[in-house]
Amino acid sequence: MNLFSNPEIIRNARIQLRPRRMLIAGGLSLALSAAIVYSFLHNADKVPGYPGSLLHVILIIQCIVLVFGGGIACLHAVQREKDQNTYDSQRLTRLSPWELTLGKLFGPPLMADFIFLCFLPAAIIGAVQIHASWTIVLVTYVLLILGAIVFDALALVISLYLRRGTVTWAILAFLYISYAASSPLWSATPYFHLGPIGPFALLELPSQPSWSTADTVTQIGPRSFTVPNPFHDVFFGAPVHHALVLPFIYLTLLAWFLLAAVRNIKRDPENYELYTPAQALGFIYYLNFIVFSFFGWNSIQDPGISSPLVAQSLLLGLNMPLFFIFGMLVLRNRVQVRRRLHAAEAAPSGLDFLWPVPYIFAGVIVVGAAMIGIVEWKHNPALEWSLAFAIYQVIFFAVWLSVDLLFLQWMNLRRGRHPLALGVLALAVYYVCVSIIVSALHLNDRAFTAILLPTPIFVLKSSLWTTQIAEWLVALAAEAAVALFFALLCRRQLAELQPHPSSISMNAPAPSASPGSASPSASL
Amino acid sequence: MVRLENLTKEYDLPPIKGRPAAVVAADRLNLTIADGEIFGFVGPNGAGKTTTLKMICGLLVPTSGSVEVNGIDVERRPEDAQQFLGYLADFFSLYDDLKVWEYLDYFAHAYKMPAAEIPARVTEVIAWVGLESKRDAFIQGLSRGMKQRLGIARAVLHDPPVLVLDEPAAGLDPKARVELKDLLKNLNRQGKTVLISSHVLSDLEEICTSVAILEKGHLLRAGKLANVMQEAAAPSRRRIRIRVAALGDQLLGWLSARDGVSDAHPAAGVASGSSAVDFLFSGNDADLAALVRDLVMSGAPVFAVEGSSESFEQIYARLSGGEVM
Repeated sequence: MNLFSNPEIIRNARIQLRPRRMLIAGGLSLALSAAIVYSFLHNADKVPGYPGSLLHVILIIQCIVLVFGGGIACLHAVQREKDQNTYDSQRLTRLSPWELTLGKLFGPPLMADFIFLCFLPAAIIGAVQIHASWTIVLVTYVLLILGAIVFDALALVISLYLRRGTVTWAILAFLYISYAASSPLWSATPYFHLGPIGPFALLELPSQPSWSTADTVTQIGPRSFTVPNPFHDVFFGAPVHHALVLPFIYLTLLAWFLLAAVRNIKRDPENYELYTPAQALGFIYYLNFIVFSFFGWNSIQDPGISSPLVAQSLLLGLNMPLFFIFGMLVLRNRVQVRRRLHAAEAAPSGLDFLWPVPYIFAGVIVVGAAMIGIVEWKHNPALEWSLAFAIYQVIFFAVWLSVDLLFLQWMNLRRGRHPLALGVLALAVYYVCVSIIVSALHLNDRAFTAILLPTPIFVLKSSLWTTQIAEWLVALAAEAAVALFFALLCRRQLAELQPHPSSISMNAPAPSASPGSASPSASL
Repeated sequence: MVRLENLTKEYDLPPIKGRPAAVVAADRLNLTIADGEIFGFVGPNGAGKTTTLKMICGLLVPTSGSVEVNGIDVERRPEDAQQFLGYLADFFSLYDDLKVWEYLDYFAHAYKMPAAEIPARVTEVIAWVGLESKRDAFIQGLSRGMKQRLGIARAVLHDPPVLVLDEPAAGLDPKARVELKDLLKNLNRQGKTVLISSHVLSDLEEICTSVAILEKGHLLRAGKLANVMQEAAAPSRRRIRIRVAALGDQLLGWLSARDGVSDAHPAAGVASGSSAVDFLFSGNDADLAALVRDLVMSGAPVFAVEGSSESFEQIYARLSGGEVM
């Protein structure tokens, strides 16, 4: 079944692209683009520097329509089906998860795609007007469309989890994510050489005169200024154009998002599992591959910029949110645990109490080993570096993550309306409060503080490490004890979910039923 | 054939002190439903009917146990099993902004029917449910009965051997109900297996060949309708009505004092000119004959003696302990 005969896309086309709707949307878009074109052609010669170029303005509109419009449509893709009770009917059809996912990825944004196309003639006029390189314009559009598809896929995955009343928040979060991913703020540091990956970052690409990654020097009066090239990435020390990096990142991210959607789109929503633990582990390795590839490894050799210790702390810091995402992916809910326990018909094992600690350790050990290995290889011997301390830092990081994720796992196994959300909120409030107190009391580098907050590990110096090894080891042991405490709490929750006779006898048959015929083995 | 094996589904309950953590919506259900049956699931709200039907379709994952449709495990190979299933939910699941034919065309393609056969099949099914005049109408403009018929049309569109209908008669007016019953009988004549849940026991009694009585997730009775009624009906207790010229306290007292007689009370709705007494009688025909003889001998002018068996509704009410449907 090809994309054009996908029933889900055809259904969306029938609903969204009825002649009347197309006429209205097309007419309005063409009228707006005609007004913009006229405004630019009329004023460009008369007003020097008239607000940017026509192509830039049209690209902004197209980007908003494609990324925001298409994304919001995809956010509704599954949630709306659930709301109008049609989701079950779709799940029962013979459409494969792959076909249904593609249908929901490309079907809902059809109107946004149509409006995007309506602005294309104006974009062509704009490109001609500034004599833009056709290859650069073409690449811009290809990347813009690919980027929009990636964000649509992300919106589709989010849509799987949306319930009535959560859509507005999801839309606001999605708009923020898609815009923030286009912001250069997070890449404008000496430690990281990857440009923004959001599609809005592509708006500047057509104004580039060539594919060069060199910075431009601007002369203003007697002084000259170097303007960094926003499309200059560094891949393991080698300069590379951002337009070459983006397709790789877009295609790989798309593959990950599609995997999550395809795995779950036809599942019972109570039983969603974005990735298997092994796939989630692959995802964290993939994210770390991106981080390591574009990390400014040369900075650790330059004492003016960084040091091996700072680099390691920075990489662990970057991995905090990544591993939290990973942890959230592998947490189990009550339904999944109950099914496991019923299927096993046995008491929960040690692995069940400690879930997801083994995977956290597997992830941190591989990432930590790669991190330490590269720093060990690249570091400047004149700069502060201790292999033993680096290993301790990674182990402590793993134990600390285990504590938090065991706490979240325990929360996720509790009965309640939104136990996991409550757990995340409790954790956030805890860290904010402890951070304020620790900072106020200037306890940032004390070993015992690390039990409450991991920051002392990130700011630890070799000198402090070598003179106070025993204290740091006690801190590590204390952290492990906290992890064990939460594992015991998980164990108590698991006991509640075990299949035991009392949970069944509470619904014993009505006394009027004769026991013989009420036997569950009655058959026809 | 549909087979349920130890099918169990537990749901969490809101955390209230003193209440159990989970409710069992289906408790180790074992059923085998043969081809060509119209199989009714009966039970009050919360008995687990919808949960069971959804698990049969693979829409809900059971806590434990399994479902097989035509020998295919629904959980392991959902798409293979679902090709044999047509499902109608207990609420409308329609796209209001599609036309009737577009809606069916969408599902025909989604069920991967041969493209060349789809237009004819859509037309055929529209005619079968009597919506020819609404073929090009938007679904949002259809009446409730029409929407229900469209839902059934969607369920049978790909000609599945097993139909799962959850409360198909809910909210329908009496005329639409009669039409629905005719549709179901028609489907059964075509050899379809129909699994149906309903609150309207008289409807089920009329069309079902077999039933399962569920309560709080437990299977109370299951089998051929006639067998269930025969097994469930108290064999030694018959409801007897005796028509007499005039009913007095003396006669009621005399009856109540007899062995095997219980619940004696004046009958309602008896034609003028006579009275009647209803009672439950435990005993065989000879015992009943003896009772009538003694009654006549005592001087009571007996006009008629009538016996009646319990209806399915009465049996259900007794089995379920009077649960409200």
